[in-house]
Amino acid sequence: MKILVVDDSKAMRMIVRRALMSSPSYADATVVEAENGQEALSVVASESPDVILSDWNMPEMNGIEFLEALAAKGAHAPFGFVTSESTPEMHERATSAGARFLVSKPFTPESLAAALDGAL
Amino acid sequence: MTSFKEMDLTSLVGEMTTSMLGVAVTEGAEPVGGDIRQVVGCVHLTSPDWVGSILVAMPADAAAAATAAMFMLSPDEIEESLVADAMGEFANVLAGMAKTAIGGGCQLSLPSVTTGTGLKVVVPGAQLVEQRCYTTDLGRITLTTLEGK
Repeated sequence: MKILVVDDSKAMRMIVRRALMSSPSYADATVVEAENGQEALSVVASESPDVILSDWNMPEMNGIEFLEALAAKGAHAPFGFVTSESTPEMHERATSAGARFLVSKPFTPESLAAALDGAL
Repeated sequence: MTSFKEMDLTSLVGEMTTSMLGVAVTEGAEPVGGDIRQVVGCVHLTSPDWVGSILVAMPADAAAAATAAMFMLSPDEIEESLVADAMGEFANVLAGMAKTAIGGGCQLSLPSVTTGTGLKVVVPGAQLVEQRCYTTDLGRITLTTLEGK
């Protein structure tokens, strides 16, 4: 399995990667990274990830714009937000745009794995 | 609109440090002296009728230790850019939790990070709400909140 992690924070990308590696279900996954939605679109084209985990608030292209751009291109990889912001309005907008889940930062490896399990 | 004064900020800081750094916080530490070099992460919250800012500061050596803990690296492997990234993310996570406590309706800025001694952060239109100092096994953390209309 190949998982794309999109976050402008290198620290957070590492935390997500570490959380995935600590989960028995995802320890063998290949993790690829991007710093924002724009870069992530290129990574999706070149790497064809099986699942995408994205931050919401990022420079250049934020997470919801990235998700909408993916939908416009007809990409269908399961998509989840891992974000510090989590309001009912954001949940609604995320799911309306096609996101499978929204995990709030800070999260535990278990909560991230559970969200992925539910989406795959 | 909820004010920072109505939030349990200590719980938010504790949740952040426990999950991201693996350490608990204790409130009531001595404020950090102005002659000590600090790293300050800042995120602004903006709504049509309210503005707020959250600043998270740590002495530079403590910020480096926290970054090392986050990345699971030894302190001598820590670069300044990693420290800035980590401090920005601490502020971002706290601001996100504050936004959730507020109930939405506001936008978060991208984080900014400043390093230096004797720093005074001014946000036009906002006044100091409070400043809280915490101790952790990695060093002191100072949380400052500002808000205005």
